[in-house]
Amino acid sequence: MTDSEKKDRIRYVESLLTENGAIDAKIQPRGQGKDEKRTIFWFNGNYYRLGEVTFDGIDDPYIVVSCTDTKKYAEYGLFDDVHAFEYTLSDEETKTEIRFAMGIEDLFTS
Amino acid sequence: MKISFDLDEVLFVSPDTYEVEPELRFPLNRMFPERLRKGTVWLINELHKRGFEVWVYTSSFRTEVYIRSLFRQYGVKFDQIVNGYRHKAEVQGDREMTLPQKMPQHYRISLHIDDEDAIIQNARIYGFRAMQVYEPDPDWAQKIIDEAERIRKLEEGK
Ligand SMILES: [Mg+2]
Repeated sequence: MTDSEKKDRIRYVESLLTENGAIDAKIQPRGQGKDEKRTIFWFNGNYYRLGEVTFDGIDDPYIVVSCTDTKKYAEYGLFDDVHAFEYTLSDEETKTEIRFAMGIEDLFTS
Repeated sequence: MKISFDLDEVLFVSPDTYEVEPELRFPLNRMFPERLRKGTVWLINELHKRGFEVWVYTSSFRTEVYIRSLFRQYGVKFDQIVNGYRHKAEVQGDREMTLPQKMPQHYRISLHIDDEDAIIQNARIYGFRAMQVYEPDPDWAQKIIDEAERIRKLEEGK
Protein backbone atom coordinates (compact mmCIF):
# COMPACT_ATOMS: atom_id res chain seq x y z
CA MET A 1 0.00 0.00 0.00
CA THR A 2 1.39 3.42 -0.94
CA ASP A 3 1.45 6.37 1.44
CA SER A 4 -1.27 8.11 -0.51
CA GLU A 5 -3.48 4.98 -0.44
CA LYS A 6 -2.99 4.79 3.32
CA LYS A 7 -3.87 8.48 3.68
CA ASP A 8 -7.05 7.90 1.69
CA ARG A 9 -7.92 4.95 3.89
CA ILE A 10 -7.50 6.98 7.07
CA ARG A 11 -9.67 9.70 5.54
CA TYR A 12 -12.30 7.04 4.82
CA VAL A 13 -12.18 5.80 8.43
CA GLU A 14 -12.50 9.40 9.63
CA SER A 15 -15.63 9.68 7.52
CA LEU A 16 -16.97 6.62 9.36
CA LEU A 17 -16.39 8.38 12.68
CA THR A 18 -18.49 11.28 11.42
CA GLU A 19 -21.11 8.96 9.95
CA ASN A 20 -21.52 7.41 13.40
CA GLY A 21 -22.08 10.76 15.09
CA ALA A 22 -18.60 12.06 15.92
CA ILE A 23 -17.92 15.75 15.35
CA ASP A 24 -14.73 17.71 14.80
CA ALA A 25 -13.59 18.73 18.29
CA LYS A 26 -11.75 21.70 16.79
CA ILE A 27 -8.70 21.01 18.92
CA GLN A 28 -5.21 21.64 17.60
CA PRO A 29 -2.81 19.83 19.93
CA ARG A 30 0.07 21.95 21.12
CA GLY A 31 3.38 21.40 19.44
CA GLN A 32 1.86 19.54 16.50
CA GLY A 33 3.20 20.54 13.09
CA LYS A 34 0.76 21.58 10.38
CA ASP A 35 1.65 18.73 8.01
CA GLU A 36 1.01 16.06 10.64
CA LYS A 37 -2.30 17.62 11.57
CA ARG A 38 -4.90 14.99 12.29
CA THR A 39 -8.45 15.82 13.20
CA ILE A 40 -9.52 15.21 16.76
CA PHE A 41 -13.10 14.07 17.00
CA TRP A 42 -15.55 14.19 19.89
CA PHE A 43 -18.19 11.57 20.53
CA ASN A 44 -20.18 10.70 23.64
CA GLY A 45 -17.78 12.30 26.11
CA ASN A 46 -14.60 11.02 24.47
CA TYR A 47 -12.00 12.50 22.12
CA TYR A 48 -10.77 10.30 19.28
CA ARG A 49 -7.86 10.48 16.89
CA LEU A 50 -6.75 8.12 14.14
CA GLY A 51 -3.19 7.24 13.35
CA GLU A 52 -0.85 4.51 12.27
CA VAL A 53 0.93 2.03 14.47
CA THR A 54 3.58 -0.58 13.77
CA PHE A 55 4.63 -3.48 15.96
CA ASP A 56 8.05 -5.04 16.51
CA GLY A 57 8.69 -7.86 14.11
CA ILE A 58 5.61 -7.14 11.98
CA ASP A 59 5.96 -5.45 8.58
CA ASP A 60 2.41 -4.28 7.98
CA PRO A 61 1.26 -1.12 9.76
CA TYR A 62 -2.15 -0.90 11.40
CA ILE A 63 -4.70 1.85 11.76
CA VAL A 64 -4.90 2.79 15.41
CA VAL A 65 -7.76 4.52 17.20
CA SER A 66 -6.63 6.62 20.15
CA CYS A 67 -8.90 8.06 22.78
CA THR A 68 -9.05 10.20 25.90
CA ASP A 69 -11.98 11.38 28.01
CA THR A 70 -10.17 14.54 29.13
CA LYS A 71 -10.13 17.70 27.01
CA LYS A 72 -6.86 18.87 28.52
CA TYR A 73 -5.17 15.60 27.52
CA ALA A 74 -6.55 15.92 24.00
CA GLU A 75 -5.08 19.41 23.81
CA TYR A 76 -1.68 18.03 24.78
CA GLY A 77 -2.04 15.10 22.38
CA LEU A 78 -2.10 12.57 25.24
CA PHE A 79 -4.24 9.68 24.07
CA ASP A 80 -4.52 6.00 24.90
CA ASP A 81 -4.48 3.57 22.01
CA VAL A 82 -7.77 1.72 22.33
CA HIS A 83 -8.16 -0.28 19.14
CA ALA A 84 -6.26 -1.23 15.99
CA PHE A 85 -7.08 -2.96 12.73
CA GLU A 86 -5.60 -3.60 9.29
CA TYR A 87 -5.66 -1.04 6.48
CA THR A 88 -6.72 -3.89 4.23
CA LEU A 89 -10.01 -4.78 5.95
CA SER A 90 -13.12 -4.53 3.79
CA ASP A 91 -15.38 -1.49 4.23
CA GLU A 92 -17.91 -3.62 6.10
CA GLU A 93 -15.28 -5.01 8.48
CA THR A 94 -13.83 -1.53 9.01
CA LYS A 95 -17.29 -0.19 9.90
CA THR A 96 -17.68 -2.87 12.56
CA GLU A 97 -14.24 -2.13 14.03
CA ILE A 98 -14.83 1.60 14.20
CA ARG A 99 -18.25 1.16 15.83
CA PHE A 100 -16.59 -1.07 18.40
CA ALA A 101 -13.84 1.50 19.02
CA MET A 102 -16.50 4.17 19.57
CA GLY A 103 -18.31 1.98 22.09
CA ILE A 104 -21.41 1.70 19.91
CA GLU A 105 -21.22 -2.01 19.24
CA ASP A 106 -19.66 -4.98 20.93
CA LEU A 107 -17.40 -7.37 19.10
CA PHE A 108 -17.10 -10.97 19.95
CA THR A 109 -13.40 -11.57 20.02
CA SER A 110 -11.96 -14.97 20.70
CA MET B 1 -25.13 -3.49 45.84
CA LYS B 2 -21.67 -2.40 44.70
CA ILE B 3 -18.66 -4.69 44.53
CA SER B 4 -15.21 -3.50 43.50
CA PHE B 5 -12.08 -5.21 42.22
CA ASP B 6 -8.44 -4.41 42.52
CA LEU B 7 -6.56 -5.05 39.26
CA ASP B 8 -2.94 -6.09 39.82
CA GLU B 9 -2.61 -9.62 41.20
CA VAL B 10 -6.40 -9.95 41.35
CA LEU B 11 -7.81 -9.63 37.81
CA PHE B 12 -4.43 -9.01 36.14
CA VAL B 13 -2.09 -11.91 36.83
CA SER B 14 1.07 -13.43 35.42
CA PRO B 15 0.54 -16.33 33.04
CA ASP B 16 3.66 -17.92 34.54
CA THR B 17 1.93 -18.59 37.84
CA TYR B 18 -1.78 -18.41 37.08
CA GLU B 19 -4.28 -19.89 34.70
CA VAL B 20 -5.34 -17.03 32.46
CA GLU B 21 -8.05 -16.11 29.97
CA PRO B 22 -7.12 -16.69 26.30
CA GLU B 23 -4.82 -14.04 24.88
CA LEU B 24 -6.33 -11.32 22.67
CA ARG B 25 -5.63 -11.64 18.96
CA PHE B 26 -2.74 -9.72 17.41
CA PRO B 27 -2.21 -6.73 17.54
CA LEU B 28 -4.54 -6.22 20.52
CA ASN B 29 -2.36 -8.48 22.66
CA ARG B 30 0.48 -5.99 22.15
CA MET B 31 -1.68 -2.98 22.99
CA PHE B 32 -3.16 -4.64 26.09
CA PRO B 33 -0.43 -6.90 27.48
CA GLU B 34 -2.12 -7.53 30.84
CA ARG B 35 -3.48 -11.06 31.18
CA LEU B 36 -6.73 -11.78 32.96
CA ARG B 37 -7.07 -14.41 35.65
CA LYS B 38 -9.03 -17.32 34.26
CA GLY B 39 -12.70 -16.92 35.16
CA THR B 40 -12.66 -13.09 35.15
CA VAL B 41 -14.97 -12.76 32.15
CA TRP B 42 -17.51 -15.19 33.56
CA LEU B 43 -17.31 -13.68 37.05
CA ILE B 44 -17.90 -10.04 36.11
CA ASN B 45 -20.69 -10.91 33.70
CA GLU B 46 -22.29 -13.23 36.26
CA LEU B 47 -22.21 -10.49 38.93
CA HIS B 48 -23.97 -8.11 36.52
CA LYS B 49 -26.54 -10.79 35.72
CA ARG B 50 -27.24 -11.18 39.43
CA GLY B 51 -27.87 -7.45 39.69
CA PHE B 52 -24.62 -6.32 41.32
CA GLU B 53 -22.95 -3.07 40.32
CA VAL B 54 -19.34 -3.90 39.48
CA TRP B 55 -16.52 -1.38 39.88
CA VAL B 56 -12.75 -1.31 39.47
CA TYR B 57 -10.86 0.23 42.39
CA THR B 58 -7.15 0.33 41.66
CA SER B 59 -4.37 2.48 43.02
CA SER B 60 -2.60 2.25 39.67
CA PHE B 61 -2.57 5.23 37.35
CA ARG B 62 -3.81 3.44 34.25
CA THR B 63 -6.44 5.71 32.72
CA GLU B 64 -10.12 4.92 32.82
CA VAL B 65 -10.16 4.88 29.01
CA TYR B 66 -7.38 2.28 28.95
CA ILE B 67 -9.01 0.05 31.57
CA ARG B 68 -12.43 0.20 29.90
CA SER B 69 -10.94 -0.47 26.47
CA LEU B 70 -8.95 -3.44 27.67
CA PHE B 71 -11.94 -5.12 29.28
CA ARG B 72 -14.23 -4.33 26.35
CA GLN B 73 -11.92 -6.42 24.19
CA TYR B 74 -12.98 -9.34 26.39
CA GLY B 75 -16.65 -8.36 26.40
CA VAL B 76 -16.53 -7.15 30.01
CA LYS B 77 -17.98 -3.87 31.27
CA PHE B 78 -17.63 -2.06 34.58
CA ASP B 79 -20.09 0.40 36.01
CA GLN B 80 -17.40 2.71 37.35
CA ILE B 81 -13.64 2.89 37.58
CA VAL B 82 -11.68 4.44 40.42
CA ASN B 83 -7.98 4.73 39.59
CA GLY B 84 -5.17 6.43 41.48
CA TYR B 85 -6.06 9.84 40.02
CA ARG B 86 -9.74 9.62 40.89
CA HIS B 87 -9.00 8.38 44.41
CA LYS B 88 -6.59 11.29 44.89
CA ALA B 89 -9.11 13.83 43.65
CA GLU B 90 -12.27 12.49 45.28
CA VAL B 91 -11.19 10.57 48.38
CA GLN B 92 -7.94 12.17 49.47
CA GLY B 93 -8.85 15.67 48.26
CA ASP B 94 -6.97 18.29 50.22
CA ARG B 95 -7.16 16.50 53.54
CA GLU B 96 -3.97 16.94 55.51
CA MET B 97 -3.97 13.43 56.90
CA THR B 98 -3.00 10.86 54.29
CA LEU B 99 -5.85 8.40 53.92
CA PRO B 100 -5.26 4.74 53.05
CA GLN B 101 -4.77 3.99 49.35
CA LYS B 102 -8.31 2.64 49.08
CA MET B 103 -11.49 3.72 50.88
CA PRO B 104 -14.34 1.76 49.27
CA GLN B 105 -16.87 3.09 51.78
CA HIS B 106 -16.42 6.55 50.27
CA TYR B 107 -18.32 5.16 47.27
CA ARG B 108 -20.69 2.98 49.33
CA ILE B 109 -19.03 -0.13 47.96
CA SER B 110 -20.23 -3.11 50.01
CA LEU B 111 -17.44 -5.52 49.12
CA HIS B 112 -13.94 -4.89 47.79
CA ILE B 113 -11.73 -7.67 46.41
CA ASP B 114 -7.96 -7.23 46.83
CA ASP B 115 -4.73 -9.19 47.14
CA GLU B 116 -2.91 -6.91 49.59
CA ASP B 117 -2.63 -7.58 53.31
CA ALA B 118 -2.57 -3.83 54.00
CA ILE B 119 -5.99 -3.37 52.38
CA ILE B 120 -7.47 -6.24 54.38
CA GLN B 121 -6.07 -4.72 57.59
CA ASN B 122 -7.42 -1.29 56.62
CA ALA B 123 -10.82 -2.88 56.10
CA ARG B 124 -10.87 -3.75 59.80
CA ILE B 125 -9.49 -0.40 60.92
CA TYR B 126 -11.63 1.83 58.70
CA GLY B 127 -14.73 -0.34 58.62
CA PHE B 128 -15.27 -1.55 55.07
CA ARG B 129 -15.73 -5.08 53.80
CA ALA B 130 -12.88 -6.64 51.89
CA MET B 131 -12.14 -10.13 50.67
CA GLN B 132 -8.63 -11.29 49.97
CA VAL B 133 -7.85 -13.11 46.76
CA TYR B 134 -4.31 -13.75 45.71
CA GLU B 135 -2.92 -17.22 45.19
CA PRO B 136 -4.13 -19.41 42.32
CA ASP B 137 -7.46 -20.96 43.30
CA PRO B 138 -9.72 -22.65 40.77
CA ASP B 139 -12.79 -21.72 42.87
CA TRP B 140 -11.94 -18.04 43.33
CA ALA B 141 -14.81 -16.77 41.17
CA GLN B 142 -17.44 -18.88 42.89
CA LYS B 143 -16.11 -17.85 46.32
CA ILE B 144 -16.55 -14.19 45.37
CA ILE B 145 -20.10 -14.81 44.15
CA ASP B 146 -20.91 -16.62 47.41
CA GLU B 147 -19.45 -13.79 49.51
CA ALA B 148 -21.27 -11.13 47.48
CA GLU B 149 -24.57 -12.99 47.93
CA ARG B 150 -23.91 -13.42 51.66
CA ILE B 151 -23.31 -9.68 52.11
CA ARG B 152 -26.32 -8.79 50.01
CA LYS B 153 -28.48 -10.92 52.35
CA LEU B 154 -26.93 -9.27 55.40
CA GLU B 155 -27.57 -5.81 53.99
CA GLU B 156 -31.11 -6.65 53.02
CA GLY B 157 -31.76 -7.96 56.54
CA LYS B 158 -30.69 -4.67 58.10
MG1 LIG C 1 -3.24 -5.63 43.84
